[in-house]
Amino acid sequence: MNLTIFKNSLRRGFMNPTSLVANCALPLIILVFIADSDINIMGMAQRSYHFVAITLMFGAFFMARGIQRDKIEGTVIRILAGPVSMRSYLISNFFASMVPMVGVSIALGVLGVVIHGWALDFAALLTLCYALLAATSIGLSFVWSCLFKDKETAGIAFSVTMMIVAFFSGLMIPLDDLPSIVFHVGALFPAHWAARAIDALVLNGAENMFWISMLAMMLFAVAYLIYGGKRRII
Amino acid sequence: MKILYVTCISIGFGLLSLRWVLGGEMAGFFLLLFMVCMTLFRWRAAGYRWTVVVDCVLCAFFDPWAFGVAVFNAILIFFAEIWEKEKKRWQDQRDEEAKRYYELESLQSDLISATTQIERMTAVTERARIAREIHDNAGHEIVAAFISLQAARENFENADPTALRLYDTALERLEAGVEKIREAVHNLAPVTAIGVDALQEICDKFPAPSVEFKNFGSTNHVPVHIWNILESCLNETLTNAAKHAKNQDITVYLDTTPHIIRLCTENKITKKTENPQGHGLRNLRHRAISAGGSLSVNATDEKFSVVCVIPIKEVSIK
Repeated sequence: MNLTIFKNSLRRGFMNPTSLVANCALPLIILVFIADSDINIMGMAQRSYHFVAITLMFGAFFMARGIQRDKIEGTVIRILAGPVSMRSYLISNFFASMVPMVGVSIALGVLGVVIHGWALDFAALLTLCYALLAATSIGLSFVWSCLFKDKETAGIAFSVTMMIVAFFSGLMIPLDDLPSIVFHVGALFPAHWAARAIDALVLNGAENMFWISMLAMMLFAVAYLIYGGKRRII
Repeated sequence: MKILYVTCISIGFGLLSLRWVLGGEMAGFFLLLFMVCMTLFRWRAAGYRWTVVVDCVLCAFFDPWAFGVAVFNAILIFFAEIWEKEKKRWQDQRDEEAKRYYELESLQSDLISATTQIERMTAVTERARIAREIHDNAGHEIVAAFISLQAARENFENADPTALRLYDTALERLEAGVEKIREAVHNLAPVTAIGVDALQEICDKFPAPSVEFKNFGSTNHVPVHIWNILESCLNETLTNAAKHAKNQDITVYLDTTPHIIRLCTENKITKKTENPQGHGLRNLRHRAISAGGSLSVNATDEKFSVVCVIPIKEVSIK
């Protein structure tokens, strides 16, 4: 990992107001108004956690958007002209995006314990789930950088896709209410598994379904990072 | 082949997805996701195609359908591997041919420019020779005659005035002629250095800390086209030395015998290069060979030297 690139990416991520709002402000605001998981009336607690997941997904995307700007402005070519490998550049960017996301996830867990009195294991597992979702979203952002050459188009396409995914994946509409085919289509996106993990955690604690969903998210993250980590990103 | 491979893989994954949707088994989805990950991995890391065996083994444990797809995938990979190897072989051959073609093209361009240069140098050398001949032989004789006629003028005080006037007019015209010869010699003499002077000038003007030029033997009989090759050789070797051995002293030796001329450039090595013979040296070697000579590059742990030896033909000596 290249520390200079890491620091610059981190600084650039925080200098972006959209990223700052989506990363820090929104999840924490939602957390204040989050429903208590012990009084889960009409699935309100699940919905609240799902909304946090949506904001984290967008936040992670905005954090990792820097590589697309590097690609468009030709900065990446100048960086790679120096003694920096593509792998090192991507790993530095990944960690630069991941560190704040993990920070926010931990903050959510800690604040949940302090404000809402969550059980420690629940808070820890929810933090883990959010962190993994963030990693998957960053991977998706890398994929997006490979697929789109224009920053604006990529942003619009991501927003539209994510909204559709959020609907199909069960982050906005409960999974049980979704028709079978939509359920299966939604399963092709990591958000679906994040929703399933949150539901499993809220309703039953860390049982099999939670870990299966985590495994699915992990595989998605791996797939996205493998695809997004190719040299064609230039 | 690539399109066929992607299509076949997509069909395999599509069938597996269909089975997962219709069957509703979660294991199917995970196998699908795992196989997608592995396929992406193999796409990224071409050297790990054998990992398809892992797919087959895992799928054989969980789902016969997925096993079928994995085996199909493995067969495709096998054929894709053979195809790619063959393709790479052809590509390598094509690249080799292209490299040879571009080298020949570059050599041709070098030779064309060298021909022009040789033409120019021949003209300049010929002008220098004519100027020297006029100055050393004809010029001296005429000037001597003019001085003798001027001295004789003192003895013609009592001569016929008409004859004397004619004599003076002839003297004036001779003086004007001598002046014109002097001007012509001056104009014919080349401004640019040629031959060994040109090599000395290249060494003097080269922007390196120290370039020492040592000349041994007489170079009067060396023909122009050899000087042209030697100049190119010196320029190339000095540039190489400056590039690969910064701030190191460079010594240039020029040994001339009646039969050969040998130019040797030496410098100390700061870092050893894998392939010391670049494009420029290869072209120079071709040119030296075309002149019946040779160019050798010697790299030891301490010293790097380029030696260019060119024979001087009998005709040239005469």
